[in-house]
Amino acid sequence: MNKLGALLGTSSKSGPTTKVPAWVSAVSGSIGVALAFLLFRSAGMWALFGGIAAGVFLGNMVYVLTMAKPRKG
Amino acid sequence: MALAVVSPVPVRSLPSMKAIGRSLAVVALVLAMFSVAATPIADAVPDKAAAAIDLVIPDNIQDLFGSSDASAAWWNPFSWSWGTLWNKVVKPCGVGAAVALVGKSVATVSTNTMLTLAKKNLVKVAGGGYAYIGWGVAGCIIGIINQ
Repeated sequence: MNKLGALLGTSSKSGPTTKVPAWVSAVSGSIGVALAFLLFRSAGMWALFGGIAAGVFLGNMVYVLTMAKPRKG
Repeated sequence: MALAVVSPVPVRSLPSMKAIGRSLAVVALVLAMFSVAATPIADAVPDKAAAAIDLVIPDNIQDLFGSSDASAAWWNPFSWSWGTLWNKVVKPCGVGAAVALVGKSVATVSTNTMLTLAKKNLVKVAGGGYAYIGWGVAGCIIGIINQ
């Protein structure tokens, strides 16, 4: 349970974590959705899936690698 | 020259990674806004735009929620066209919510799997479980608009 919660980012007892702000998720997801619908308009719901997945993943990684401060302890 | 020697801090320093990340985010946002603005939705997907308008203000709203017959008023659920409501509202809402939630979960689990392998701190979603509820609602709305 805790392991799945840690992977999903919802568990409160999952060891050292970095909190991704809501705006990072929202902005990157929105950009991903917009680009996916523009580039793969005929893909329908698959564009939504791919856009959200790619956008949020890239947003999370960019945030972790650039802005997130390592948590002490 | 003398100023540079006595200066306690360098006059110019390289931009930090934080500043680079912010700049990239701003550039990506501007590009996305321009690409959206450059594509008229009505020209690109006329049928979908028309369908969205029809859904907001349907011509046959009385067919959805009853008829002009007084015995089949709009507030009577037995007068509603449940099949049409299911196909036009409930089903696209559910599909959109499911797709959005799977996308969000896949993205977060992929991020945390990579961070686990790299032995870095995992990411925690702001809002916790409520964030997933919000993404489900957003996917529901997109699903209805995009049908």
